[in-house]
Amino acid sequence: MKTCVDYAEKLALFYDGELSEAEKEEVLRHAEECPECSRLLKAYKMIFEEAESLEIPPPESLHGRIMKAVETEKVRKTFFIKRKTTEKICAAAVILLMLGGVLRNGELLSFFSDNKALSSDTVNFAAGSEGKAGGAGAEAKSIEAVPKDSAQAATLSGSEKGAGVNEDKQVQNIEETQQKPDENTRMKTATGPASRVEGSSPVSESATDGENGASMKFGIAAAKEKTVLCPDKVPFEGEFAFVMVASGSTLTDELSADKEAKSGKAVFYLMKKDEKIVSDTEDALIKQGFEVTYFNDGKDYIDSNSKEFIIEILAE
Amino acid sequence: MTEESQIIKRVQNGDEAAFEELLSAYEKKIYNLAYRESRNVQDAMDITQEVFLRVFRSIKDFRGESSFSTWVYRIATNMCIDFARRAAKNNAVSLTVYDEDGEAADMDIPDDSSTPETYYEKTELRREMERGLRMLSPEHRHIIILRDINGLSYLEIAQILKLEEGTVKSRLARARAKLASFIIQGNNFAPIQSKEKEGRRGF
Repeated sequence: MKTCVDYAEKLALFYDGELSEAEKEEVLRHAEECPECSRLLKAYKMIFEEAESLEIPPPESLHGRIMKAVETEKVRKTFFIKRKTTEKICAAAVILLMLGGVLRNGELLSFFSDNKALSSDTVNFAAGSEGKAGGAGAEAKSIEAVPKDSAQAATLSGSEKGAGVNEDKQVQNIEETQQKPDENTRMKTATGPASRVEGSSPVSESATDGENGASMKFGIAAAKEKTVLCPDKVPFEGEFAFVMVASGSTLTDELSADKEAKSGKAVFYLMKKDEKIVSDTEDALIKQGFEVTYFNDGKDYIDSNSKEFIIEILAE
Repeated sequence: MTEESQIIKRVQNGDEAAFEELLSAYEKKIYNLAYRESRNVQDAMDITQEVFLRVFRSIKDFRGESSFSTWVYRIATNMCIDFARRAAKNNAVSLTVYDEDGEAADMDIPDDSSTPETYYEKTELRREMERGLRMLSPEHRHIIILRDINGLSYLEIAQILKLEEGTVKSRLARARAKLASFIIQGNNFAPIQSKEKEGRRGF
């Protein structure tokens, strides 16, 4: 004859609805005869009925908080450059692509959330005379961005083209400043686990007014630290694009699953307010043999009220 | 292709809105799992966020070998275990007590997440169940949350915990027996008996 112990599991699982009719009847028959098991069965019923009420709604802020964290993650991914430790870092350069717009001092450098120390490896960009924002916008006409397995930084130049573009918009060249040999060497041979690119010193120290407009230094650090900080906010006002080039054997850590990243191709980042300029730049880059991937509109991290873009460009 | 797998595909292709759909579908369940394990709203939010960040980071690797639900719950379960380990490490005083069977369980500590208002809104029975859950061992508590609060099937639980279905049933039965025993010993059994007289639901 079966004892209470034999019914223990079936009693506990009775309200799961998984027992056969015959099993249920058997359990109920036993419970009718056994006050102890009858009591247990009632307790199980209570658990069954009340457990659902233990489910509580999450705090209202949770959803937004997670989505924000995910967006941060996406932005972080784009700036998270990791170098294979077994390979030399070959080159990293920050290049500004000025496209018919005005760069206000301070805005650019606030791009990076950490404006503290940086190496003296700098890149100058020279803005052309103040072009008028709006209209058809300028377009990157020729872009020479050749990722190399050397410390040579790529140079991009954007120029206007196409009908409807104001004549006073000028070709704007971005030229890398001459790097001192020792700095160059440092970039080449840095043996840290990854590269870090960060903003330069405050604008007041690095920006000068050239005859054609603003001229600002922009800095990159050689491979010292692991991550590249993502911007908290990029208050772009004028029409310009920003391209960060990290060429050579750099890897984006989170994108390492991507075959392109694995192959160590150059990764470019471009941020631009004007959608047309972004698309024009993209066209130009594609013509140059780059694969362009949009992966974040960076809305909370650039300007929630306007459309900026970060473009990942993988060079062939 | 199910609707969910289409959404997953979109997320894998970088569609953030699709990710939000997945989040909406699972956040409550995962939050509850985390809350019951951590007993603290802030920790539960942190754990839930970490779970979904992990989902976001790893979803490209999700091949559909298990159901998405199982995959998410497995991540959440591991996170909860990690949390429990960290919490145990950080606790200067051991909060583990041993019952008469020699089974480890957490010491009953007041739930600091309840404001007085919400506390008094809870029924006596619910409070008793919450206390009972806290007294269970982590394994027993986890399986009751998955089954009775989150409503997962034996099979799903088996996949999440990587157990045989039979083991799930026996563990669940033991966990409920302990919880039932706790409730019977409490003061809240009588009202339920009177509720019983008013007529049984279901069965």
